Amino acid sequence: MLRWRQATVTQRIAETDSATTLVLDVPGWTTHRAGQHVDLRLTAPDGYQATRSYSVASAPARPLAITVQRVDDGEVSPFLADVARPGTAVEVRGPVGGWFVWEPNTTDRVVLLAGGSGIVPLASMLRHRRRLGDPTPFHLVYSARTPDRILYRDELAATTEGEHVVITLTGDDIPPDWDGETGRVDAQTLRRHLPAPSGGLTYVCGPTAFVEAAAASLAVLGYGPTTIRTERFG
Amino acid sequence: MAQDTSTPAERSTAHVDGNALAGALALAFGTDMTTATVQCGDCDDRHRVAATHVYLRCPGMVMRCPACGATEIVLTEIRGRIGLHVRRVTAISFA
Repeated sequence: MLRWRQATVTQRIAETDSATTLVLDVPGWTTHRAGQHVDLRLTAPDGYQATRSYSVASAPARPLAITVQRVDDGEVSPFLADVARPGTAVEVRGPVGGWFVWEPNTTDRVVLLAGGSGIVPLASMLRHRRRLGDPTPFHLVYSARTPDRILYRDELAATTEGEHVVITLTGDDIPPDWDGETGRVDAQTLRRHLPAPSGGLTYVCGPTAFVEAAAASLAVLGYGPTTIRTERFG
Repeated sequence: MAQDTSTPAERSTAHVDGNALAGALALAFGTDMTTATVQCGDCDDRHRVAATHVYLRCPGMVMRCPACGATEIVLTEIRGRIGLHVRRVTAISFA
C-alpha cells in the first residue's frame, strides 16, 4: 500500500553551489526502479503542508537519494538544499512511476537526453548500469547552463565500456578552458553524438521547453515517437 | 519527475506531464497509472497518462489532453484525502 512514510536524512552531499543530494533512511521502503520518483512532503509547525516530486538519483537497491536544485523563491527546495541535515525528518511516498523507467536487458541500446536537473533520473539509470556491469550501450547528452551547474561531473566523466557521455553548455559565458560541446541540444548536436535510430529506447528529461525541443530534434534524426519516453518538470 | 524548478509565475502557465500525477493516481487506483492509456472525450485522441499535460498550481492538479487541451481529470489532495474529478474522458485502460 502506497502511503506517506517517515524518512530521516542520513547524509547530505553538496553537488554544486545550488544543488544538494540528500540520502534518506525510510523504514519499510521497497526499492525503486531506475527513473522513478518519490513524492516528498514537508509539514510546517502550523500544519501547512507542501508536497513536491523528486526523481531518485541513486541506483536501485542502493539507499534512497534525491538531488535537490535550490529554487530561490521555492517553498520546499531551499529547506532541503540548505537546511536539512542528518537527522532531519521528512515524509516520502513512493517510489512511483512505471513509464519513465529503465530495466536492464530490455533494450538494445539506450539514449539519454538531460536538460538541467533532468540528469537526476538518468543518472540513476547510468548508476544502475554500472553497478550491474550491464553491457547495454548508453549514449548520454547532458545540457547544462554553466560548468558550475553540472551535476555528478566527475562521476559522469568516469565512463565505462559502452558509454558515451557528452556535456553541452548553453550559457552565455563559456569558460575559455571548456573543450566540450556548446549550444542548445538541436538536431545538429544530436547527429554528431548519437547513433543512427535503429532499435533501443530514448529517455528525455528536463524542463518542458527542453523536452519539446529535444523530442523535435530526435524526430528530425528519424527516431520513432514510440521509442521515446519523456518526463517534463516545468 | 526530476524536479520542478520553475518560479511561481512560470508555474501558472507552464505545464509538466502526467508523470507528476504518479503518486496521487497510484493512491486512487491502487496501481501505477503513468502507463495507462486514456481516450480523450473531446477529440478521441488516445495517449499515455505520462504524455498528458499537467498544470500543478490551479489549485489542484489538472490533466489535459496533449492533442486538444481538453481537461481530462482534475485531482486534489487535501489533508490526505484524494479528490478525483473525471471530466472529458471516454475510456481509461490499464493493467
